[in-house]
Amino acid sequence: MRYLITLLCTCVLMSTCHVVLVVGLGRVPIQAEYWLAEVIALKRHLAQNISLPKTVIIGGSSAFFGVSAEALARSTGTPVLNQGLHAGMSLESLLVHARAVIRTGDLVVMALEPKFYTDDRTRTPWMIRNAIAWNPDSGLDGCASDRVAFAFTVAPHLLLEMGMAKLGEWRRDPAVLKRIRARSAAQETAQPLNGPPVKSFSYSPTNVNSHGDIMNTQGTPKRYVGKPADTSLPVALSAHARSTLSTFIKEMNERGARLVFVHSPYMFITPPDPHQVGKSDEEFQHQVVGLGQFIDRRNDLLFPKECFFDTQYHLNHAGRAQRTELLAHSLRAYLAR
Amino acid sequence: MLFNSYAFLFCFLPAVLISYYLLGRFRPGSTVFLLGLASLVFYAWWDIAYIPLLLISISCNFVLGTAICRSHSSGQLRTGLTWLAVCFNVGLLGYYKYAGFVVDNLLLCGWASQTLEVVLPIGISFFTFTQIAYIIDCHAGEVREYSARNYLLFVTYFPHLIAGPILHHKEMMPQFARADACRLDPRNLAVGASIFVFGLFKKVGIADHMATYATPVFDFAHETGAVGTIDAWFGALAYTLQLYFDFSGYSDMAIGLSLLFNVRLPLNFNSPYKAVSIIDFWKRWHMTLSRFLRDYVYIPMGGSRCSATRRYANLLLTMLIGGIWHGAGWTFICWGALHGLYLVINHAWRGMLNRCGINDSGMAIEWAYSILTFLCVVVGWVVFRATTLSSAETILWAMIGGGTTTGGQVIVGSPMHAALTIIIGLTIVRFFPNVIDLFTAQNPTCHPAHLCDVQSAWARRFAWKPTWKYAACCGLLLYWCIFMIGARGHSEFLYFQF
Repeated sequence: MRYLITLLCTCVLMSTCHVVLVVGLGRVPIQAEYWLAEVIALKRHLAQNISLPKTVIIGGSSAFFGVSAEALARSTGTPVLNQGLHAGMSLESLLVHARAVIRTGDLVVMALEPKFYTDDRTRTPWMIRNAIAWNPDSGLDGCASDRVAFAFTVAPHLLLEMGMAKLGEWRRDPAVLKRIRARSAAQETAQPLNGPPVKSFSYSPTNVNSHGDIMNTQGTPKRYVGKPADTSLPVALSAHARSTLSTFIKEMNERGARLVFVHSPYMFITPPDPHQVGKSDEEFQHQVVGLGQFIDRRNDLLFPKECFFDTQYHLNHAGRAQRTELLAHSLRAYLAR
Repeated sequence: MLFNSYAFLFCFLPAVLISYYLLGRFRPGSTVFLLGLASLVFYAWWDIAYIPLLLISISCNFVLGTAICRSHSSGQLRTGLTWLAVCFNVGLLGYYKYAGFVVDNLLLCGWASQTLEVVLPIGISFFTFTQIAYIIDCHAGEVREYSARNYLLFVTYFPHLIAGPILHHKEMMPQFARADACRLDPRNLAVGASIFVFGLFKKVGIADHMATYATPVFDFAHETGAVGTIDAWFGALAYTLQLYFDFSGYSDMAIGLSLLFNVRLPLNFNSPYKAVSIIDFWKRWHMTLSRFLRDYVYIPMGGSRCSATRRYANLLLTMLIGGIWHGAGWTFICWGALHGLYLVINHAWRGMLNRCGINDSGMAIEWAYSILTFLCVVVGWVVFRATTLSSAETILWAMIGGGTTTGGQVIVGSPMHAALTIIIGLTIVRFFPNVIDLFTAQNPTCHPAHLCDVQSAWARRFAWKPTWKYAACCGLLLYWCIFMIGARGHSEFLYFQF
């Protein structure tokens, strides 16, 4: 029995140390996507300087890359902000940042990727990493039980990385200090992020225009990792997504903002059966009845691989022009009703 | 419920274990019932709708088995009942596992008008094969009558129910009937817990990590019909390791869990990638399935006591059945046929060497055989894993240099990191002792110890001992696994789908 007791005690002891360390270390500058934190801050800043009422495009990176708010503003004659962020974020987190930029009278266009509709509160390693690094919208800032629950989602090797980053912070390691600077810049929402405009593509706030659009997405880079999702598959709205969206929509109504849904673009290599895609679209729209209205069809948003940039979510410059035109058309039709 | 889920680790297992020993102390006769009930709860966790099917299958087989055992006087009745029972089992498996596949193919030929959607009950292949063996042994007069309670536990026993090992009644029933089965044995608890932790680590720490390299390659090949040479090799080797660590991890967990209840399961893996021939591979990989196929398919067909041509045909057919058992799909059929062909070639080669009096022993030849066997197995796994035959062809073609690009594009993360991980994995499976080797002295399985490899110096050096150092290492591994499950979520075992 002594053997079993030793085994279990070691495990319990290690687990306790793990939880205490994660909770104790708190936010640590580990390697993460700090550019996103900076982009969020930049978009918040842009929203403050844009005239009202405006159109706000909400979504993940599919909206960030796939809509030109600048062209849409020209086309519709209203100010437009591209609030597209990252598809790796949770729906809750995405909407927290959306709330910060929406004002009375705004038109909110929900251009969410399918994964947001199926969100079931699962924390992905990507979310956990960014939560530790910079995202304040995580369990790490909650009550004690939230923090302990969060600690259980931190892998042991990530805890090691946290320790190394903390050590780097104390030793003033340049790489770690750079991350801390990025995080601090992101926290200064009132300040525009200064930097020379870039001529080539990079995931950086300096590669974002005054409408919140990402720039320099011409062509298709060499290291393309896109694998198309099956466009004919129906999307199942999760209970969590339904309740999160309901709360958000209610808030927007109270705030006096109108809200519509649009599809995100889908990639295809061989053209899918339009009947099947339409059927899946119809099935999905049945599920969102009561939440809001879709003003376009999934069938209109099927794009060939050539229209995509570096992943299946990111349209390139040419694809974005087409998608923006389609969106402008749908919005005009909606506003004319 | 998955062995690698918090619900199992923190609720189900402790609750069942404590109840088992408490009940064993006061009402030893009820422990079989408790384990049977716990196994049904374990099975119902996925979907309670599967329970009636499982119970119908068990009841019918038990009633028919008992009737076969009692029909000593009438040979015809005995044979008739046996055929009825076998047809019932094959029919059940056929409907739930293969009807959809058959209808899909008929649909392609224009002979059917619509698809047939049948939900596959989890573990059906395992509990059906277990019971077919029981029925055939009833017919052969090798079964003495068992109690319904013990039979229920024999089929549903939760450590093996979902993904094996495929149990044999002769190995299990005497253990369930043992009076001292519910007596607390600290050594069995210690050995069982340690083997379970090693198995959990194989699954959570290695197999799930390998999946991050293998899955994107196979998905990409399926979606795009093109993959680079390097990616194809990464994907194929990563899947080879993933499948081994996943399935052998599950088997280790099953052996460890069962030992916590003082029941020894049969050995299911014995370092298969150390095999020096395909014949040797099938003596080491999924050993309980190989045993079933040998005893209940190959030997009844005539086995090797017939002409060479007939023997090869028997081998091919047996492996084809083994392939079909794994799943309803052309990839599984081709994989089975491919291994049948490998075995035929292997036997023919051996026969030729014997006839010519050529001695093929020696280290260099053994290495060459070992590498060739491994490559054949990897090719087989590509066919086995691929979504369609055409994506298998894409990957195999890329592996021999026919890829569209040089690759390195699909692998998640750095290719150097992936290469290093795969090399470490290959080193472990090729040179390290397996988990059961480390515990050989403790007799953790019901297999005779001599079936395991002769213990290497490494295995002897690192052999399990009930020391605090070993306990602390296992505790560390358990901690690591618990937090990896929390971070990544629990993933299903590959053999659940079979």
